Amino acid sequence: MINHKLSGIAISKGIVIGKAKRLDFDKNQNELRTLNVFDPEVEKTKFDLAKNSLIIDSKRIIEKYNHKEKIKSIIESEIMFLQDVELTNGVNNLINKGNRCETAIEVFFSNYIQLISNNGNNLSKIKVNDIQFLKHKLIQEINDVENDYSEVRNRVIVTSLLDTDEILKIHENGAIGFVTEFGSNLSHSSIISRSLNIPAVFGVNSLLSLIKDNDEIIIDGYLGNITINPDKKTKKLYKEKQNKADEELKSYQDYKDTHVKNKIGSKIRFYSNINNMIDLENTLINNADGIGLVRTENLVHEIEEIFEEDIQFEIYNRIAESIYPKTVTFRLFDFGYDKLNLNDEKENNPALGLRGVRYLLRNKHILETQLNALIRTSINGNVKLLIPMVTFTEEVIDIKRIASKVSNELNIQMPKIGTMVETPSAASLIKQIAIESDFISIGTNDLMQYYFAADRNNEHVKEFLDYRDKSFIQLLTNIKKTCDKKEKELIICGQIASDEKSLMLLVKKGFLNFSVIPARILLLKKTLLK
Amino acid sequence: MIEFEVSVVNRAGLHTRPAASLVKLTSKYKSNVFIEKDGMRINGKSIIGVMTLAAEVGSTLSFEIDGIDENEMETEIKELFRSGFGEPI
Repeated sequence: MINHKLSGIAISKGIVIGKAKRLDFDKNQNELRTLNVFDPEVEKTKFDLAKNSLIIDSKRIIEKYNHKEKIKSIIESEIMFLQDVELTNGVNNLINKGNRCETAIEVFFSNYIQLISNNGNNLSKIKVNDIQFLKHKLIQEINDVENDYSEVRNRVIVTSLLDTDEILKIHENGAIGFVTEFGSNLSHSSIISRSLNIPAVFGVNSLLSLIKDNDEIIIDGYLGNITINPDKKTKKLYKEKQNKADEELKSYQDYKDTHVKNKIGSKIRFYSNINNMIDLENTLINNADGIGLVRTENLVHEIEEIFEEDIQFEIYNRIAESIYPKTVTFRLFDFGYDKLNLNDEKENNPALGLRGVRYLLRNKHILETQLNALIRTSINGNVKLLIPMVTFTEEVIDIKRIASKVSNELNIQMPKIGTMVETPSAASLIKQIAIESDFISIGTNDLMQYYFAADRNNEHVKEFLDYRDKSFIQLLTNIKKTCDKKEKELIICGQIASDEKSLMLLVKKGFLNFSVIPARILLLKKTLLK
Repeated sequence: MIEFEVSVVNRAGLHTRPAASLVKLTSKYKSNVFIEKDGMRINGKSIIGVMTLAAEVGSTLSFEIDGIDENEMETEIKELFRSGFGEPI
């Protein structure tokens, strides 16, 4: 097949030319696997490999935190757990009975968690979370052992669907572009592709039946298309386009120190969204006005022991210190849904399930540990907190009560606490919520999917998700009016502000604060100044 | 073989970190060790076992140690529980 052009959704800007590397491990994998002959020895080896690899990881973390006794001991306990004969025997017995390695781990852990929960005291809850997290890491490790990332360096990744963990791992192993058959513009993996500045096109129909390993591919992340095995002329054309794009990128640098104002002279501020330490670097490079949103649940990659307060504190503090004296808003863990899901039971509809503040208020030890770490960080004086997925005003009041208790115990002044408005009910209750909150942040990605009742990860309903829909913009404007009246600061988060046309519309409507992917800031400033 | 009892004195109880300290200690020794609480009997060298006990502050654990270095292990275990695993009491 020569010079074959296919179109999809433009996910992350940029042009890249490279050799294709197919990763066929997702979705289809389960079907393929059931065809394989079951061999208990293979399953046991898989389990051993995953355990050993996690033990090596943990030892590396111990070296890093060698001077911190508490951190060291908690990670040592994880190593002991992995080396425990009860775990090895238990899982191997289940494998001998005909279970695959992942199933055996699931069954072992759920029996164990059940046993501990039966004791029913507070202590068990803390342990159950530690154990859940370890199970999550083990299963993930097994998938990784199966997924060979060694051949992705300098290749264009072609696959059916990417999740956020995969994207980060593939990126760390040096891939230069992503093309997928499914996926949409609002999925977390698309947000991550953009924040990593890697050209990507998602949602290319029948992609996997058309591309072979080592086919040459051009990704045009501007127009959202790819070319398979381009001829010389096409390649030359794209190389020119690539050079032009690089130059344009350089020209944005002129806008680093430029201030942007709206028609009546009010300053427009661009804050950054942060998922990882790369985003933090980009925030500083692009001279953002502050950090508008730290998605703390996505820092799991940095916070290897997420439930350990001191480790959380180290990471939060590094972020707060780097951005000082500008402000940083940490959103409390938004577990569940398409992010790290720690719920014990599988939910039929996780987007409408136990996530955000709903999860936190039912798992108070996780909430309190995080609040302790964050409030300690707030001594820097530039820290604000944000509550995710609020449905009712009472949730804001509950969180504030717990935060105030933690602040008193630590003898530190309580930082400002804002509410993320991302459910239609919160948008409708904005008057009460604004009274209870120090500031308001609109999570437009989720608000939009709940407002239009259209899943933002489902490409079949993507036309329902319209940033510039009149009634949706009206909804945002109503929130703004209330915030103005109550004199509460308002910031817009989500993809809407990264879309140049929507941004111009919002600025026209008087919105002043936007939190976007740091790599977009200079381009957006340039758009507004044009 | 020796048998003795200890109480959990640290406020937070035998959660993950103290459980790890205990297993780290028992694993140093050659002797076998079993711990009993509320009719549950577990291997004292297994963190998975120790954590099943869900021993809160105030609860009592019965130890049974058998082997050449049982006395040394007993002394160290008693000291570890007495100190509350270095945590607030």
